[in-house]
Amino acid sequence: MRKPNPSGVSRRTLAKAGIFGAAAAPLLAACGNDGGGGDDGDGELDFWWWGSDPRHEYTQKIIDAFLAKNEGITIKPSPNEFDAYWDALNVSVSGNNAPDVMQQDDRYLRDYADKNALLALEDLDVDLSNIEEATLKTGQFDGKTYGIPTGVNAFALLVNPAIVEAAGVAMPDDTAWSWEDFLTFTAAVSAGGDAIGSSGLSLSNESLFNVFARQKGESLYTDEGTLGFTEGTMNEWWQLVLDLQAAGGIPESSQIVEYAAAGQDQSPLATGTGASEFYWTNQIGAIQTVLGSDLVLLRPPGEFTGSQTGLFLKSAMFWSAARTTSDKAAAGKLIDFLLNSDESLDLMLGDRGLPANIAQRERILPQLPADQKLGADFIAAITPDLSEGPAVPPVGSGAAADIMRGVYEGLLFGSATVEESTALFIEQVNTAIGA
Amino acid sequence: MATTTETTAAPAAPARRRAQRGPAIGLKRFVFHLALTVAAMVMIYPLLWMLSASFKPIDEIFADPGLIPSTWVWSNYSEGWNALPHPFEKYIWNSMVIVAGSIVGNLVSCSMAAYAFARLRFPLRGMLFAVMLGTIMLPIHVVIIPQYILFNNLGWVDTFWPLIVPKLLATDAFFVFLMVQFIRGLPRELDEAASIDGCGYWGTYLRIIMPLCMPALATTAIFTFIWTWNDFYSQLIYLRDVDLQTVPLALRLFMDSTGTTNWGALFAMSIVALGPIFGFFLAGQRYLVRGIATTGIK
Repeated sequence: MRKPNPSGVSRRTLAKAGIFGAAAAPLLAACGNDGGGGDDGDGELDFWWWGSDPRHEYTQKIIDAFLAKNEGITIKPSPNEFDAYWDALNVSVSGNNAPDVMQQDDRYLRDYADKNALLALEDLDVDLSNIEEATLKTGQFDGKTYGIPTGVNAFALLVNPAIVEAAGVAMPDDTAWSWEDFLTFTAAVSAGGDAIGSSGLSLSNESLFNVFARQKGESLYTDEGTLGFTEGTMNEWWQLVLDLQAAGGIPESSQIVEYAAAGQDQSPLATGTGASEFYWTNQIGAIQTVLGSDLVLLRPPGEFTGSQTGLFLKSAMFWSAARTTSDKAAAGKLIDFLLNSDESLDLMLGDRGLPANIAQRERILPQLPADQKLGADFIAAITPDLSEGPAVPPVGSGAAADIMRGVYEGLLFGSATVEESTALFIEQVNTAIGA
Repeated sequence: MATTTETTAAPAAPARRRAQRGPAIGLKRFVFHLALTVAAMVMIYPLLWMLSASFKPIDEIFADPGLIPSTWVWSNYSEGWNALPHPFEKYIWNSMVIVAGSIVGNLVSCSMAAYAFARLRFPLRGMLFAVMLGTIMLPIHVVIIPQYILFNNLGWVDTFWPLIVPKLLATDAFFVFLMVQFIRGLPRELDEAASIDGCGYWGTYLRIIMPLCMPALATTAIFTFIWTWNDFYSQLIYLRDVDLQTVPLALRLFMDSTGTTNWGALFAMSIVALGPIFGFFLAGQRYLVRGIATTGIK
């Protein structure tokens, strides 16, 4: 029910089709139109994005505002859902018909840039003066900008204060707590009531592990595109998982797997049966809506007990343009409008992450709805303490999420020890990123 | 499935009970039907769940597995109808256009191809028949990119043509096969009688074969309706323009794996989307069952 896919075509099989097609495309393109890329300035833009209905609605309004200001340009908008978006993009890029302006994700940005599907945005007339260097860097490879960040998010521990209070546990001090304190806290909440202390879902999230590694002065990836943490660090992480489970802070293994399969809206935090979980700041609204009450945001444990803070700002998504766009100037205008105009940001607010444009971020801060305000305040609070941002993930790193989940489940069900889990993760990710 | 078991079993029960009186048999029947009813309920529960979820407030949908909403939220329907870039009737209309084109295309082209394979003699018939069957076994991933490039070069991406034109060329080999099997079951003497009376190939096809093929044609029409109505992937690939999008694409627009999903509205529109297919199925059920029974295809 959650993800109807009547075609029976999975994303993975599609990826294969994409590879097949990518190989065939140059051959066929050679006898068709001459490889695209013709900048004939026709003013016709295909504009693709993913999201859910509120985003589709306001994005359409932004397009209308843009068209009102730019005569001679027409836009064919194409909203989509995340998974379907990549299916469709894969085929259309392989078929040499990529959308002129598109939303991109950091998991795929580098892949598409390497396929030579994206335009280096230096060529376009987009004002980047209000975007921080560090944020901009997340969309740059080999000295070129292939994606401009729409906004930023950060990891936070979302806590349901009502459950914590009912369990008779004090709210922890997030500027001082360690991962041991997290264990004590979750175990105490579980013991003090029916709800579980934490759902254990994000312990398989490689970004959260990155925070953990960074707190020790290491990182998930290095700038050279290799793994950047020691085995000892990952062993500690897996040991923490086992300790949490032994103390009752997170659920039984089978339950964790069930929750992971059921999706965000049915996670214990969202249904009111769990007290805490780590999420990105842009997910707060969705969870609060399903939960029906307010959450409190805490920094992850260990931020001030390690050698440095581990949190970082992640670019929520990117604006990119296709190398084959039929009108570079118009594509540039649209991206500039989306990124910098009052009309656009008044509608977008924090939906595509807290705006990357610093001037706009400050301007819209008072207009933000309560849930986005929570995230914005959190990001404002952690920003002064941030250490240098993490390296851009290497090509193939998109597989790391699935690999980490697989290893995590193996550990939960006892099919691998802590050390074996670490070795397995390192081996599989190294294969995926070709290191 | 569940509904048909229930409805066909229920009216039969009292009649038989009257025929074979005796408490032991009555009890047996009662237990049997009770078990069937329970099994039917299990099968139909997900559907009922979706129906009830379409009336629930969003924070209740996943928190409470029960079927009766605490408050009836009718606005899920009005909200869902208008939540997307176009009102929902636009998507239904687009789907209907594609479905209608596909049904007409399949009925005309597949029956002609089937008649040729079943009755006419022409060079390489056996090999071509095998090739046709082979296309059933070809996974969509193998053909999708070349197909996309072809339609893109024809300028047909973002039109309904890639979804309708192939149907006019008998590319749904499954239906060709279904009708070939059906026509092979018809007595050849009828064709011979027709030719004695002066019918050519066209006359035999139109006056003899087509009327006798009604069950197979109905099966084709119904399956084409269901498969086209539910087809997500090819519509996703070819219909990117929001003005052309269809019901399955529209339903998907409600979902977002990283943000807010308006589940109530999504389920409400899913119920709406079930309407036409359910109605069409009910109307054609009689033919469908006959078609399946006579061709032996499930």
